[in-house]
Amino acid sequence: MGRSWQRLKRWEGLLLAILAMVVIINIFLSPFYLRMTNQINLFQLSIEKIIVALAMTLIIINAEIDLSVASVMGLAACALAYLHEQGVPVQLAILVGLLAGALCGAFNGFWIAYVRLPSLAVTLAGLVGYRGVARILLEDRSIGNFPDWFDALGQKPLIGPLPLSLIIFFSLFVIALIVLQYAAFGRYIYVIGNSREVARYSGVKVQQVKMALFIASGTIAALAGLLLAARLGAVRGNTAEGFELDIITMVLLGGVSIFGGSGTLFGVGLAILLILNLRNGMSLVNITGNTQTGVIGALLILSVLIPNWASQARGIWGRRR
Amino acid sequence: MELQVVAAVVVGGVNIFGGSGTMFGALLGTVLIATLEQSLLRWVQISEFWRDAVLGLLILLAIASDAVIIERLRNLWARGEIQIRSDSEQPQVQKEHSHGA
Repeated sequence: MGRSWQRLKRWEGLLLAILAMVVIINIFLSPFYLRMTNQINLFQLSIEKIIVALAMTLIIINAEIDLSVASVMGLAACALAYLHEQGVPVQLAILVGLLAGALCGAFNGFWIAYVRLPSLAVTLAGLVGYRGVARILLEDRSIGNFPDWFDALGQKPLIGPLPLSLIIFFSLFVIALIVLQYAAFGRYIYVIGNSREVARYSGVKVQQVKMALFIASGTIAALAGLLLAARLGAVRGNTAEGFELDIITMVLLGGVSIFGGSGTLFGVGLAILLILNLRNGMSLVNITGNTQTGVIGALLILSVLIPNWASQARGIWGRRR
Repeated sequence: MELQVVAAVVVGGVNIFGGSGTMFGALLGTVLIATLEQSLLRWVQISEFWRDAVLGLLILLAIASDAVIIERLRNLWARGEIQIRSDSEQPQVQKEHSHGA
């Protein structure tokens, strides 16, 4: 544990250094970069993904994975749009959307925690299945015309310059930080992620922890889906399709081990900032979206290779002494 | 698309943790999913929008039945009612699930 902790600290230092570099380059590249509107825009364009990335961090540290988040986002948004179309008040539709997300999470959690099926397979079924339910609800229609106050929640600043989604992100970040790094529940998450058997024999209620995590993940994904609906002002059957891999990319770049048991929210926060600033900087100098994706892919490959090389180099160095 | 490929392989009975599965099974899984997609398209009463939901259910069914079968095999093996040859792929499956409920 001690050594992996050291490695993580180094990893976060590396992320911080790269982030500082990107920020400095951005400042020189564009005079608009430091403006408040740009800084908020930078978050706003993928705010839904980074909200879900927080829940995904806890799940991956717990040695599971949730591939169904993007479909749950889509399902919650489609449920909201469908109910709105049927004339149900939007407030009630929001509640139903969140409830649908929690149900999806509980369904995943049941198979994973109690039946002990691999989460990769269960949430893969969820990825296809929940998206299917969303398609059944909306078929090929696109539904908009939400009330003005709902669209305003996604598009206009709520307190000062901050929009609602950004406030939700920061509050969730603080909550997740406390839960993961400073509460007993967070210790359970790490222990289970390191070894499920050790956790079970130590009296940790493994099944409840996993169930709680998946319900939280489903609910947060649904919340993000509703925010996406409010920001876009319209919902289709394929809303949020393909987001899951972007979200997992952010978490893994943050130094969280895909095998569970190690990683911190600080790292994930830095990785999120890094990806957002990188994309923003490239957009400011007119680099196209495809190139941006390529650069971020290269970054992810490097993030896998560099620690590997570093540990090999240390191994050689150690033998020589 | 990349996840559809994984889905097809999983439906074909390949263990997601590795250690068991066959090429032929993966082929059957792919054919099954492709056939299902085609037949749902041709079935007029069922709208094509149901396709993904049915597919998701099928994948869940595949992995759940996989778990049930392995659990039963393990119980039989524990009671000594079946023998497992060391050259088959089963011992790895046993190890994988030896701590199961």
